[in-house]
Amino acid sequence: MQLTVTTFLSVDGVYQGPGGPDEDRSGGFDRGGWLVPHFDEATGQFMDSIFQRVDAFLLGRRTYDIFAASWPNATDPDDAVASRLNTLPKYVASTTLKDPEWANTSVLEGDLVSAVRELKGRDGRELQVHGSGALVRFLLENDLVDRLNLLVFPVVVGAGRRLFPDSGIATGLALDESRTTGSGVTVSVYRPTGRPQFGEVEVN
Amino acid sequence: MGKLIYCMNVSLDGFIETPDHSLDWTNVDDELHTWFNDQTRTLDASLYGRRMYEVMAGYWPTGEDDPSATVREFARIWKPMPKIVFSSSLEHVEHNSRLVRGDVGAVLGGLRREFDGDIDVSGPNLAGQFVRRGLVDEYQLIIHPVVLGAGTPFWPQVDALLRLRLVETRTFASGAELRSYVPS
Repeated sequence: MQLTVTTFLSVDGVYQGPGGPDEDRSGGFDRGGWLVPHFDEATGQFMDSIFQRVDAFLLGRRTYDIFAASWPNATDPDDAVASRLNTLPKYVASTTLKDPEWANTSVLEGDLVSAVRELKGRDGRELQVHGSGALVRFLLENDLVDRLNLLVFPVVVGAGRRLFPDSGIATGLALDESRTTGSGVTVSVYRPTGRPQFGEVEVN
Repeated sequence: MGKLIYCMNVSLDGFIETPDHSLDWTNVDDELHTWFNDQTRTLDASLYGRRMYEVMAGYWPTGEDDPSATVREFARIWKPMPKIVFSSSLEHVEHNSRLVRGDVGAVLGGLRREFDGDIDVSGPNLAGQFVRRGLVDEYQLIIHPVVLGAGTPFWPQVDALLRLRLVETRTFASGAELRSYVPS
């Protein structure tokens, strides 16, 4: 399977609590729900197209907790996102989660790099990571990401956890696709290319 | 009245330079440089912090000797541009520059009486003061496809959500993307 990452970001790179004030208040974060005014039909269509390609999910602990608290209540069989999340295999990278209650969830134990490589080696289309910022950084640092879908919403949040914090490893990327929705969401599809190529010095 | 534009090259993770102040990661090819030339040509004046002034003044006065015609053209646009340098440590500046000090809002108010058109501000420390005061009319980010992992951030800390409206995007062949936002 291809490992793809899909993340909602603010213009200043925050990924915490996009969907609502109470989604994730950890660290005293009180600016949640920043995505809501900008999530238009075209954004929904792009997300639907992402979920058309999924065969399994790989989630960090915090995102798992948030998803497991809400998606099992979404039982509309016509909701493609909910039905996939509720029925397809979910793998959670966690050293503390035991006996997950959400159907078809397994906890990855032991060496995470080996476990993810083993999942990627299985037949299927996409092993998808949604949200899960800390996990995404780990996967990027270990060259395990095949594609990075970044949906950037037109807002500066100014606080909260950032997908790329101030200390991380440098990564080169190639831009494969880019589009803009009517409400000003930019959708960029990047392919990691390992350590960055540094170009010639130009001042601007 | 013209706009105050905050325009810079930015890494995908939101930094404008590496921790050791390197800009080597920016891939300003001929296509992107032409965009910078066209954008700069529309300005009435440029605002710099001290470090940005030193970077620009350290190269562009000799830019007319560059082998690239696009670079030479930028040098010719840059030279006569009125430049306003915010610094409390510099004693004098050159190349059509002048030194200013004090409150950024008051300085901008004075410049508005002098310049009708668009003004740009670059250098994140100086620009951050304008951002926090709500004085920036347009943000132009040239987002390069690289994660630096550390460096000087484009965005300052802000006290509340700053809602924006996307007004322009452009994808360059190099994989860099222009995104222009205005406050909404």
